[in-house]
Amino acid sequence: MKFGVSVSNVGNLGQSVGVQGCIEIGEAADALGFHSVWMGDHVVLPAQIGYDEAHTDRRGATRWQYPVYEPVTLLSALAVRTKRVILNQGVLIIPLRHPVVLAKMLAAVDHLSNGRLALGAGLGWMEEEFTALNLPPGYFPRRGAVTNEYLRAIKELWTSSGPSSFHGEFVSFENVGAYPKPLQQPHPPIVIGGHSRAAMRRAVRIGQGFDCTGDTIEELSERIAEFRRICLAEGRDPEEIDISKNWLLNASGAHGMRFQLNGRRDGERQLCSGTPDEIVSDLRRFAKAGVRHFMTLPRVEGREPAFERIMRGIQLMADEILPAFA
Amino acid sequence: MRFGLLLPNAAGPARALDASALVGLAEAAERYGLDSVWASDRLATPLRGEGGANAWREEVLEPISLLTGIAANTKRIEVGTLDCVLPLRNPLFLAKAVSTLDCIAKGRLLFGVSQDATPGEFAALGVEDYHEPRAEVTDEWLAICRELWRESDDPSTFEGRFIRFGYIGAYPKPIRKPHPPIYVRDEGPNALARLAACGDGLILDAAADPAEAVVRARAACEAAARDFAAIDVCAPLPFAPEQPPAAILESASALGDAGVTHCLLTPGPALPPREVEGLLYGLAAAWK
Repeated sequence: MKFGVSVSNVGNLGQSVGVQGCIEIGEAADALGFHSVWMGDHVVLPAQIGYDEAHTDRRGATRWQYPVYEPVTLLSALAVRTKRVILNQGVLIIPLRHPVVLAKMLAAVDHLSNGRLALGAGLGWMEEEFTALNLPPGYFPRRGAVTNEYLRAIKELWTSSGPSSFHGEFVSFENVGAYPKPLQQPHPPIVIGGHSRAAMRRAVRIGQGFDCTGDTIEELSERIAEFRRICLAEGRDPEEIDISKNWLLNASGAHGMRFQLNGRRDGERQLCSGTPDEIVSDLRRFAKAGVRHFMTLPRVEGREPAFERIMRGIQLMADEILPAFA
Repeated sequence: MRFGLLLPNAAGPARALDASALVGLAEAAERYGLDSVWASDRLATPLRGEGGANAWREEVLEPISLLTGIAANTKRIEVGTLDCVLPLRNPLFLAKAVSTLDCIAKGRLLFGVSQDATPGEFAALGVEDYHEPRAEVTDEWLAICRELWRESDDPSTFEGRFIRFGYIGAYPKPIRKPHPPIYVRDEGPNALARLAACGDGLILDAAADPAEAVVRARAACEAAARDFAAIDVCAPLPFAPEQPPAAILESASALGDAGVTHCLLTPGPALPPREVEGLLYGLAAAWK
């Protein structure tokens, strides 16, 4: 099992940590032997969001004033300030940026990081964000098709040895020179996020990784089993696709080590909470379900600012959890 | 007189691109006491004969990405986009990326903007309709940036000719207040009107006569009741091994007499970053 750390660039955590804090979290993860860092994405936050309660702020605070440090930009800072970690996202909302711009900026990140970029790709869910960006009205309802096409266009820009051309329903270009190419050959890995059959097919057809969502280990286990079936049906070896799980963790309690999953219960003890041994045994269940890469945000609960609690959480996880999976 | 360095972030068949060397060169520029480093913009290099037969092979490291990496590894030196082509980028994404860069740079960003690219580049980015009204698009994008960067208790709203949006939050705001200084490329009458309306700096073209360009820019600012003395006037200064440091300082002094306040040392495209660093070393020695 490999582990990743969120640099916390979004929302109330982003506000508390600040962009310099995001970079320091990335440096700590890099120094302490984590496999990857990851970050969230939004270009704007609509002030009225028509989405469910799970996404509204606990205190009903003015969510639209929370920062989102722009991930494609932030990646360049992390690229030069870290040495080893994979630079991942959980996930970039692919329809929000023109593929020529995105491919160009991400190629620069791959160069600045000496070939450590992974492109975490998702569809987005916030219609107001598509509207604010003045994307054509058909894009939100057809965001899966837009994402498939944009990813194919990005691959063309990244891999064609001569001028790139692409003719699709949502994006077209002809004889474009897209240089530099990324450093990684044939191109940086593409990690598809989601859990629907469409997301699984997308991952099988264009991905090198699948970031599977799911609220319980049982659910995750079923989804990963289905993903493997789809791989085999499409003639792809499931072992060559890196299966990750993106999950936020809290650490607190008398042992200073009670990892606590945000707001979700698994019987009496919350999943990934308790002593290091208990957390290790939970993580082994994730591994058994087929998760190869666990991306999280370890935090120690307490009265200190979020940044300190995250930095202590990263250190504790490096000391007590990572060695069990080395 | 302030001194900046235009980073050789464009490479080609003649010289391989080395991103780490460019970051190292910017760090050296900071050590040698320069005021700023700059990077140029080229999102796509279309064929069809635009820009020469081999133009599509030109490797240009995206400037916002490169300068963000440099900002994260430096403390004092300012980082500038030489000619960020605004109409080619979605303005909401642009405002957020630039704001994030200014936050990472702790307020050291100089935002140099341009309206110009070839029709082929506009087509490659899916905005061929913006080529003809590119001056108006550029002005509108700057107005959107200023709206999204504004500190306010109310969400941002914008009604423009090309884009409208309502009731959104755009955070973080830039560190520098009210926003990163806007440097306008001297691209004709539209650009000088832009300078007078909202510019903090002017970037002269290498081909222009600096004294003449300054007279034109001063007239445009005075006509709009802008204080031209507050404008940072940047001009490129060729930076090549053939020129001894004394000659470069002499040229800089002549530019100063013409009204230039900020020299942008501009190495030739074939010069590798290592050699540019050697030239900086020589110049720094001449300063002492």
